[in-house]
Amino acid sequence: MKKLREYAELFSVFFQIGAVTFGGGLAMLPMLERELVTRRRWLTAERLVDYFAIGQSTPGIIAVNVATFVGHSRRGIPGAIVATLGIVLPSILVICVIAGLLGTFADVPAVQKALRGINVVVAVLLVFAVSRVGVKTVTDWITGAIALTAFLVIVLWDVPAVLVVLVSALLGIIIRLRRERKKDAAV
Amino acid sequence: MSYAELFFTFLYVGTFTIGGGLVALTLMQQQLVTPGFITPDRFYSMVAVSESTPGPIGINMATYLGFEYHGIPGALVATAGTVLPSLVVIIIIARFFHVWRELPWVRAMFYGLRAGTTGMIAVAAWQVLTVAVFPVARFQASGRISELIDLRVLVFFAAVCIAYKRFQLHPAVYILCGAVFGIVFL
Repeated sequence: MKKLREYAELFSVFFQIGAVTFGGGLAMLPMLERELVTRRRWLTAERLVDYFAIGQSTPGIIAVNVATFVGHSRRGIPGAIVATLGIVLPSILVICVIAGLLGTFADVPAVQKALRGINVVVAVLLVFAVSRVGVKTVTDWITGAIALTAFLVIVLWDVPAVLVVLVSALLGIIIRLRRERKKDAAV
Repeated sequence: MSYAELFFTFLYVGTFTIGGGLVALTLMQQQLVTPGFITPDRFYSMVAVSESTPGPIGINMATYLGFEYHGIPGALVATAGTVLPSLVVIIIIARFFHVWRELPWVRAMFYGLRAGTTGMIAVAAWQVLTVAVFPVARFQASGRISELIDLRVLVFFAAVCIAYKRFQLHPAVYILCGAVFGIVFL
């Protein structure tokens, strides 16, 4: 019974977070901090940031990864699944309703005009999101070069993203480890 | 697109989305827009809806695209495909998290990975820019410079940039402004 209540709480926490955060990913951090760290004391703020770092550098949507991670830390594999269902369900409900409605009037000229205007706003939101992320990830000229190269090879030659992921991870290992070895040698 | 194709397409997206929803957008674009499964305009209107509704953008997009092909069952199949890889990978990582965290090569890998990821996110931004703000394809088709540079759009773009930087309002507010702008001026 106690177990069941814990699953229910896990589900409802992530359902709520999924239902009120727009954009996902980093936008979710303040909400998660309030619900999980301050109110429920399920984990420390540091651990939450760790989960984000991992969620960001492992396959999958960051928000889902963090939910899975927290769910697993609470109640193992069943907890991971319950938390994941919780974070995903609001999207499925809302989008199915909207898609069902929008499908019928997406061809109306006014709707198309509205969507063209909205796309301009989306461009702005994305540009700012990129600059926010970039400030944190591009910390020196090497990371700058990797980021720029990744951008260019995809835009110019449509190189598969998989390849970019693999090569940049490999470059990170080679460059960073060599640099650390040099530092150790100097000491 | 069959259920199996839908599932494996999104399984692919879920597996290689490293760095979050915006990377997923780039992958979905490569998997669906480039081969012609969906038009760019339709795709970006879906992005707009996914941005302005609750939930992670990557999940919203997967649900929406799945719905586009097979209704509610399609939405479930696409979302399941997107989520499955992270579920498996994160459960494995969570088990050994305390052991792996401090390994030098793991930290070195993240150092390069995050930078590459940033470049990939920038591609998503670039692609929306070249559809919505500087419509390159429409310019190439007509050859008229007026198609490429639309003053109304540029002024609105600049205004939103300034407003977004100044006032940290909810993104949905700006999305709404965009809709009104489109209906009135475009």
